[in-house]
Amino acid sequence: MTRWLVWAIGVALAVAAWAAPPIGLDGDDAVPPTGLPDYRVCAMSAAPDAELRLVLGSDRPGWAPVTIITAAGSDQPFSLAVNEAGGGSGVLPSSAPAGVVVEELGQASAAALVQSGPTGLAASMCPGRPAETVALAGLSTLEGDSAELVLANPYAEDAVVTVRSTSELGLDTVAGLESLTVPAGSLLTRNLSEVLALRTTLAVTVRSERGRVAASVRYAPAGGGVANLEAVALETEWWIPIPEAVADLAIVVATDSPSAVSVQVDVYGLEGVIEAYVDGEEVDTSRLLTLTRQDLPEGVTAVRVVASAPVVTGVVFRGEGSAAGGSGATGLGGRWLLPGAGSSEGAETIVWVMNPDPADVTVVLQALVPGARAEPFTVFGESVLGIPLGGGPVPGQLLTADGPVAVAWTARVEAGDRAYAAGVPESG
Amino acid sequence: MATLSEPQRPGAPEHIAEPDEPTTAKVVAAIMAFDTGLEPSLKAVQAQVYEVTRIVVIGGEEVTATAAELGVERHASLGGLVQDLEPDIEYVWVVHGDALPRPDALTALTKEAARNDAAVVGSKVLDAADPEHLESVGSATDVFGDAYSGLDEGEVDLEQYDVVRDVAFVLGVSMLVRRDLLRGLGGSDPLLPPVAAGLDLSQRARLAGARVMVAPSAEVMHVRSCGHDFGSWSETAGRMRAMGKVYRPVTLVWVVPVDLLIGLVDGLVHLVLGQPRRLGGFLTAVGWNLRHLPSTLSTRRAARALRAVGDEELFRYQVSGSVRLRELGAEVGGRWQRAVDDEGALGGVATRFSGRAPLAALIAVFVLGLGARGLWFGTPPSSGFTLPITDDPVSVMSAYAGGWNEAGLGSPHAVHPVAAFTAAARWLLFGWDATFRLVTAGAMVAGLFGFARLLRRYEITGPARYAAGLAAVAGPAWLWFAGRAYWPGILALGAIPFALDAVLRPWPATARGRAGRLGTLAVTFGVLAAVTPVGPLVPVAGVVILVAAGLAPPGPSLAKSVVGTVLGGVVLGSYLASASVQTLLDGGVSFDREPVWWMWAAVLAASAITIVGGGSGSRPAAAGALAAGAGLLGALLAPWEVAVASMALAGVGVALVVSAAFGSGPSGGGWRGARLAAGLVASIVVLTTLSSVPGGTAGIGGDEWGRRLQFAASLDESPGSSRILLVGEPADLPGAWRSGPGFAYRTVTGSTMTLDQAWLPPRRAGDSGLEAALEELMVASSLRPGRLLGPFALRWAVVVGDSPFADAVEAQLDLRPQPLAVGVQVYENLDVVPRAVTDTGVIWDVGGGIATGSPIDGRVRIADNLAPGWTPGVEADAWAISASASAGRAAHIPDPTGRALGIAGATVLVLGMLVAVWGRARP
Repeated sequence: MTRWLVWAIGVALAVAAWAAPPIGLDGDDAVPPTGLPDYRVCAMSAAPDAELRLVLGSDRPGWAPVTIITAAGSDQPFSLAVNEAGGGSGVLPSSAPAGVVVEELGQASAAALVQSGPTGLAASMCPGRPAETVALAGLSTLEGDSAELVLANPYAEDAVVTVRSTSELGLDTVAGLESLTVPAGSLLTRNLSEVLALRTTLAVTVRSERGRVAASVRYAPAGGGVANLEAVALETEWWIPIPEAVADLAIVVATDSPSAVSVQVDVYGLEGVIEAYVDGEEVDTSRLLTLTRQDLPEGVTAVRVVASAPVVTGVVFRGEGSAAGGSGATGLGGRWLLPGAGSSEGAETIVWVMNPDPADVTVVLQALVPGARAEPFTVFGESVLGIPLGGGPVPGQLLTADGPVAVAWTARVEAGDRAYAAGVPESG
Repeated sequence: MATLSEPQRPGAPEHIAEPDEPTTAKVVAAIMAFDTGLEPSLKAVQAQVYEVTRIVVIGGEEVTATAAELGVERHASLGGLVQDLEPDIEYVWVVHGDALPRPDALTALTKEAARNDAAVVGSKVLDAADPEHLESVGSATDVFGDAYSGLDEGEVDLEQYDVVRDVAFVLGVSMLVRRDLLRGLGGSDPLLPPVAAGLDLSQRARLAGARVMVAPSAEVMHVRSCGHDFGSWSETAGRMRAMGKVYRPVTLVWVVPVDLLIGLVDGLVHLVLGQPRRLGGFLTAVGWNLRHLPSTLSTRRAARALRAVGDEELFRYQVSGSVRLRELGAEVGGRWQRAVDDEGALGGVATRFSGRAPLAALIAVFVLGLGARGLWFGTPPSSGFTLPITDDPVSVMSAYAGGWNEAGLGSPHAVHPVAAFTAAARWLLFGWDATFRLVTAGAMVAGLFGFARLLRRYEITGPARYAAGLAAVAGPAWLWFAGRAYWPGILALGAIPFALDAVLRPWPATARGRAGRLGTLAVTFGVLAAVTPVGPLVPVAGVVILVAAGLAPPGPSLAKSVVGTVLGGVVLGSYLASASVQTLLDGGVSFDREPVWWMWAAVLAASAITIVGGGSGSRPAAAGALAAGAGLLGALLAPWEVAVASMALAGVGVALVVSAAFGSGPSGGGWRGARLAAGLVASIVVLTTLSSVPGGTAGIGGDEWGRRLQFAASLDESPGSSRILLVGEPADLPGAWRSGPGFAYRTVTGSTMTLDQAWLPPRRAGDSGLEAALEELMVASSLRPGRLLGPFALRWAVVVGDSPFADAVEAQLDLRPQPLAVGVQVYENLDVVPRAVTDTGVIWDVGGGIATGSPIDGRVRIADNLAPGWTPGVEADAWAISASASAGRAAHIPDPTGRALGIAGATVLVLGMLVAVWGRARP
């Protein structure tokens, strides 16, 4: 019996081992936390005689290291002061095509490049870490138009990207834009008006097969003026405040999805909101949705684009001697940074605040300079308020609201050219 | 024993042949004396029809009196005799002192010599005890000199071979040799035994252009008191020497190694067949030839001077292939045939099998070797805790004894004792690269034979012990260790049977024996302690289990195991002094523990069936089940170090169960059918040991990390000046790891992951700092992760598999991806801060707790955890060390207590070994 007892104890212990829950590995179920980058990356090409100004909005006063990337490689970083109000501004030493990396801004930050000069005025927002696929829309390459693509790779790894475009002709695949290697710490430029000539409406998608790049297009239509369209990540919702005085307007919706993406456009105007003003339209890699001033109701002050899959919107304003454009705001928020708004001396700058809700919203606008006065404004429900800025040049503005709003700003110089840029909500 | 008498074939008519052509050649008979009983041989020679001119006895001083008594002269050697012979003597008839030639033998020899112009003519040799039986009618050989007579054992002489013919050699029992040839050859080789002497003389004669023939009509009865034995070691040695004298170098180049190989195979197979003397004889013969190599070479030179023909002339009289292998095959086949014919039943086979322990041992060693062949012949594995032993064993031994531990970000905490143990082994072997292989092989073989020896205690005999040993060291327990690449597990399985044996054996009666036992306890428990600090408790648990099963007396065994545990604790003193309880128990290691359940189910099933079968194996089977169950429970649920010890205990359980299932045998009493079933199930357990065979690395992974980190060694300008960050899933990383934000990670100091770095010392400020840096890197998707990692001297980051880390560093400025290794992503940190650098940016060398460089009037930052013991003028630089650089040297002063305990531990181990050996020797 003893041997059976001993055996039984052994088996019981083995069964206990079998039945016991396994020992987990410490931390093997940990989920990596995510966060916002505390840096901004921009790409821009300016005219040789233009002044290229980097403007910052940050919640971290101090010094922000700035690295400029050119086709020849990266320069040594220099530091740009961020004042106590969170604003910073500095003129870059060269206006040649460049990528710019601004570090240590804090997570609630924004940066923009503003070029000004005889050829016109343009602003370009600097995103944080570029997404794998970025896109821009709204340019043209008709005769006399100029469109130069800048691909900046500030990173330590060579990037391999493929550039695809969609126009009224469908999907364009250009061999010279496939699997482009953008060396680490360097940039590439491609003249789209040559390789994709004679497109009335063009959207460009940049997909990184390896690494990441910041991309933008310096767009100079034949009619004059210059705009800088930065490539941004695709989203399913876009808010686009529309300046009052712009006559020639085009809103372009594009996607990198090969399958059809359904798009709905809500229009805000003097009569309130018209939901699903455009409904059931579809876009894909070979189809764009283009809305001009003529396609929109009279008195439109803003549009909201909602899609069933990520899309990019581009809004381009063209006029005699002027061009401006951008991608709109990607969401609503109560705290916005507007780097560059009010930075161009002599320019007429207006901040456009869109309140999509029926209830009124009070917003407070404050320049990013120490001691700046905070001015409150009321934005009525389902309306857009334009707030002209006065005073001397400042790095930018901080707008806070007691309700969700979408914000953009425009600037116009006496020569006629405009700049347009969406604000940056605190979340990103 | 045959007696010398008048040679007469029973039943045969008196046979006196008349020569066809009378010869007049003078012949001297040289009787080779092997003992003093020469008279019958002398009389037979004297009775020859063909009268000899002289009769000379060849022999030492011991036959002088006999020769005088018989009225014949004596000569010390045949060579000496032929030098003295008169020129008119034509032949020398060499006759063994135990040979009885028929009266017409010499007549036939001289006649055939003359008729065939032969220089050497041999006789037909018959067994004097049974003259019908043939002993030799001349022989062929194979190329290795092994004689092939063509005769069956006990073959009757029907005159079927009575043809005068050329042969490879004739026995020296009776051979007629032309005097001038014999003089030229210098006589026979006095170092050689009879058969080899005949072979040697025949071959040298043939090489000189002479014919060697046999004259069957010259019959000689052979009493065989000359020590004539074809299979003796001396004949083997003589055959080798004879071969070495005659062949040209081009022949020897292949003949010698092949001959050695055949001899080894022949010896091993005979060992398995229960004839160990054959292997011993072979080895002795090789040794003898080595000893006599100078003499062989000198006689070879002499033979070369007379060479008239090539080796081809020797080949003409040789059979193809190997006579020995042919005989071996016939013997094995014959035995098998007899086994089948005689037994046919399972019981008979089992009975035969029970006597085949050497075969089982050989097979077990073969399986172990085959399953781990990659360890012997390939690059040693480098994965998990199977890692190379450090190139700098002194530093590691120092790090065990109060010095600076380089693992992680540095620590005064002692390195794991197994790292110190293996480093000491490498140091003792003068830094030999193959130390890892040697220790592994030693542990495997020690475990196999240790278990086999231990199990003999329970009346388990024969191959069952080796099957059980194999199952213990390469079966389910080892496969569990191997699944985690936990190499120290093999050391535990190798040491534990000896520790148990030392505990279970009766306490010696003599003081010397007791001292030896204490030494054995110190060594075996010390090794177990080195493998895991709780290892010494395994024999204690084993004893408790054996006591519970009624297999060991409770008092003495437990007392001895406690003594062993204390001694093991002394060996481990330095580690015990520096480690926390938690470190002692878990070693900072975490693993997935899941075993292969069906194997363990088979073990428990085999134990149950064995108990059902009853007999002597039931108690060991029950004890084995308890050891396996308790071991499994500990291995799965306890902290890691306890788990290692527990699995070693489970290994003991496997050995007990398998041996019990096999070992009782059909004659062991109880229910025979159940025991056969138990053996069947136990066979499944044993067969699990074959699972390592396909991979060939004993179930451990390959050289993953040696290959992956090769780039670092190539690009490391200053060894030890930087570290590597490894990132991946826990199972993919070598050694211990720490949990990061969504991934596991660890650091490697220097450029090679070695065993001493496998265990990470307890967390200190720098480790927390690194963790915070990684979290910041992940949280902020930092643009400069290299800057975050740089202060930790992390020059490289190596990422295995898909990791959030790789995503986080996809777009950043200072970790440059480099295509330097296959299967991993390597990043070079452009913002790395050297491990030891001064205020002025001068890089110092650092390693083993010492940093040296150009002295400056400032400070040097050492990117190791700040800890007491560093000098000079040490201050904190956050978590790192800032020391005065004015002396050009900053160092960690070893903790005196740790050093003393380390030395004490080593002393106990060394003394234990010496005393164990001394105590086992017979006074």
